[in-house]
Amino acid sequence: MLELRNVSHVYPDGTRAIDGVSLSVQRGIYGLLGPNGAGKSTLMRAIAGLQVPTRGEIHFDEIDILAEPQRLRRRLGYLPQDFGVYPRISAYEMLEHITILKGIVSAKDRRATVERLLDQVNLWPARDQLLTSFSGGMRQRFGIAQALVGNPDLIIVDEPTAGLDPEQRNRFLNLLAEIGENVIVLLSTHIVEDVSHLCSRMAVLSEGRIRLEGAPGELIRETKGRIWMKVIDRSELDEARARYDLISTRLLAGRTIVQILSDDHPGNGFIPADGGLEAVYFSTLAPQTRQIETE
Amino acid sequence: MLLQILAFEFKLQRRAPLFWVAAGLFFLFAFGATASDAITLGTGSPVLLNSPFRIVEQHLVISIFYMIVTPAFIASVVVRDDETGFRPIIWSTRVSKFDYLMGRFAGASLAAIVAFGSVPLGMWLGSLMPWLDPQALGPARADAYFFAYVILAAPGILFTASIYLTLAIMTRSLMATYLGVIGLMIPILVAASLYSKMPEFRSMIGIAEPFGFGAFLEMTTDWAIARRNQDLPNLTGPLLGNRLFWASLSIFCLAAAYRRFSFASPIGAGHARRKRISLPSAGPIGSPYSGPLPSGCFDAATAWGQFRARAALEIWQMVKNPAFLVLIALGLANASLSVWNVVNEGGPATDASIAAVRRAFTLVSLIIAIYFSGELVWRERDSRVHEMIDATPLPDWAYAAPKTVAMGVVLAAILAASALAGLLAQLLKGDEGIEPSAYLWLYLLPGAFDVTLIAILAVFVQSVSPNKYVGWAVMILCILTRIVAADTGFGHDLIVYGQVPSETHNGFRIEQDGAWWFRLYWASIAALLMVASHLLWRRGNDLQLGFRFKRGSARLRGPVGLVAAAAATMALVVGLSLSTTGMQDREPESIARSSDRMDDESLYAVGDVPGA
Repeated sequence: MLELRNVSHVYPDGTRAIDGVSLSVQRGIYGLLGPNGAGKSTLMRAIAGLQVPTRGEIHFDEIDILAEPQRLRRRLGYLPQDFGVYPRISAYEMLEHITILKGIVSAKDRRATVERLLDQVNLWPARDQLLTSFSGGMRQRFGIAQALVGNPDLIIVDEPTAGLDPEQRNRFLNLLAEIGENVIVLLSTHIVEDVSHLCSRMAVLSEGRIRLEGAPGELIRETKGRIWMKVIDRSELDEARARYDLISTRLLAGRTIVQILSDDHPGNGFIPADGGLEAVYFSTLAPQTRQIETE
Repeated sequence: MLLQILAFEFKLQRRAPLFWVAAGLFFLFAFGATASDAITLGTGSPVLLNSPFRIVEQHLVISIFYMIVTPAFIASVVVRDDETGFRPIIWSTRVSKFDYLMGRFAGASLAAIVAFGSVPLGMWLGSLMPWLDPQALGPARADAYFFAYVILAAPGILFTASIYLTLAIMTRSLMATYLGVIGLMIPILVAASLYSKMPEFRSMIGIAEPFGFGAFLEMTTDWAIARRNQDLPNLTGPLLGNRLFWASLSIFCLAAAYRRFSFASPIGAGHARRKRISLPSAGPIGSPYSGPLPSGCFDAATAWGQFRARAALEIWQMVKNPAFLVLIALGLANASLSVWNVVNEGGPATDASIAAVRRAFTLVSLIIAIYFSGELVWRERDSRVHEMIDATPLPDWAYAAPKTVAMGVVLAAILAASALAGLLAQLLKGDEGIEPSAYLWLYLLPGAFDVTLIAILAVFVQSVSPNKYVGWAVMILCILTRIVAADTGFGHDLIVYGQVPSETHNGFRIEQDGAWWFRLYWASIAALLMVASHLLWRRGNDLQLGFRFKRGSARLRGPVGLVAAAAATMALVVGLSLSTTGMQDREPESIARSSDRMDDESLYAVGDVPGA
């Protein structure tokens, strides 16, 4: 079990990236959803032992991550949000190098690991190409392969589906679902769909704070009957914004669809909407968004 | 449009670290060559330190070294848009091919020329230093600086830049461009060494190298010392011929580059080129391995395997670097030519050859130690793999230690190569009395040891400095301080890092008998530096020195602390016993320049750097 207690991090320039985050993560895939700049990556780095938070505690099973990062690393698989590669080195050589760094030294185990994983992420045909010649999607798949080396039982993947085409994304989500049956997978993303497809539990992070936490199904049920929608003209948007608890606006064939949050039927042409997880997400973020807009 | 592009390119280049690093490095080079006896550039003609002859000569020699830097300015013109991904945006604007290519070329060349302005500045400031003998100085001559910089050095940079541009566009490879630099430099060095031997080729050499060195020597060869202290050659005769020949050759190169250059096809140079690889979209190709993936195991065998893998990675990254190959080729060519020149000129050939190899190769090995220490300390961060690597269970000691060991291995290997080059040159020259063991004991072992000490210092400096460039600058200052310390007699062998007592005998630097005791002392200091680099290493994203210091001190409890304590004790014991034996007292090291040098007219003699 992964346990975060009151974790905060303030960067030297004064930016408060995470603010009093407490979480308890069980086996399975846990989704961390939030807009860009919400503090997801800082939180992921803190859990991966790459950044010591200014306050708080992080434990993984019996390991105190802040005190003993090396013990954590032996069980960790980490895919950074943004990463590069060594120049002048092929995919096979680099993955083999990472395999050794992860404690798999014997030639037989090394080969088994590298070949299996390159195959799983569909990079086997490109194994001898220089990593620097890889496209963004291929590089991302390489990142996924290296995170899985050595059977980690805590896998942290930061925006893993960025840059993948739909087919590759599907393939990766399946792989993750398969692995996530036995270990903790912490997945950060700003794509709501990734979370609704995969995660048994999720949290919404914005401005460094956890705004919502729970199982996606339950969270959707809680908003059931409270989301309403209406198709309006662009010119009516300001008025709608002023009158209702607006959670999202979307364009459809040139017209604007607004979704609002209301415990009772708002009348005025609104109809009940089945917002799904997206509505949950937007309704959670709406108060902050409104605050930013009024500021 | 052309002018705007030129100005924009110049502005970009001026803001890049390359500009300041090049300017700083060559400033110190020029300053040191004027203000210190230890760095010798040029023919060693006994003229005043700031005489017109000497000013011109030093500009020309430094121009040859500057050939390594110019391609870096020019290459970015060609590869930048591909690296930044801006190519489609810029190339779909209305800019014409001519304005684009020539504007950028002119801007980059201008930046390279302005950065070279640090050379006259460094020489002039160097000539003002209070420790210089006033007898060795003449009046300041602005016209000589102007002649050397504007008439000789700047066009030389422009000529070589046009060749590089053509190479970069033709080959689309950074590596090939650097190989072209080697191809250009080696004939220049060979020509320089032949210059005094084969007078019949003088006028040919005068034309055939881009800096006008041969032409300058040809025009001043009959000048007496007094005239060399007084006069500058006119821009006529061979010198004018040389400038005109190279100007037309550059125009030809630029025309070829323009013709070959195309907006449509990506110009990728080496690593920047992105070959799109098409993969079969079908399912996975069955790997023979199935079942669960192996898990890691963390015992001594793993630790050893990780150490080896880290060291091997570093060695390969260094050896496959084009800059490394250029430096080695240059150093080896220089070393063998130096030996070629000293053998059969009387005196014991092996001693003279070793002195020649050391003189020719010391600077190259120092540059490699300093430059690549920066590269290897910052490698993970520069290529942005640091988060991936830092999150693996790689032990903390497997960062600094294997990198330093890799550096030592590479330095020893290149010194061995230079020793072989020296031996080979001796053999080819018909010297049958070669003594490989003398090379081993007098050159290879002490040389590799001393330059590795410098590399350890450089790794330490890089691990505390806020970025690579500051680290490099600090290291250059360290080396210059050493040189000045040795020159001014301020140097004390227990204070000046890495220095061992030596004396000059018949023109050869001979180490005193106790030199290896001093090396033991410096090795213990180096061990302390390595411990400090290890403790302060940047792992993870907390980069503030204060944080790393706190974390490092906590780590001192444990085996690392024992190593540090042992090294400190050793340094103390050896240092104390050396200071009581009084062996370190010595006269300022003066390298007997007249006898410890090659014939008067070889162009590329670079002085011994004391202690290195």
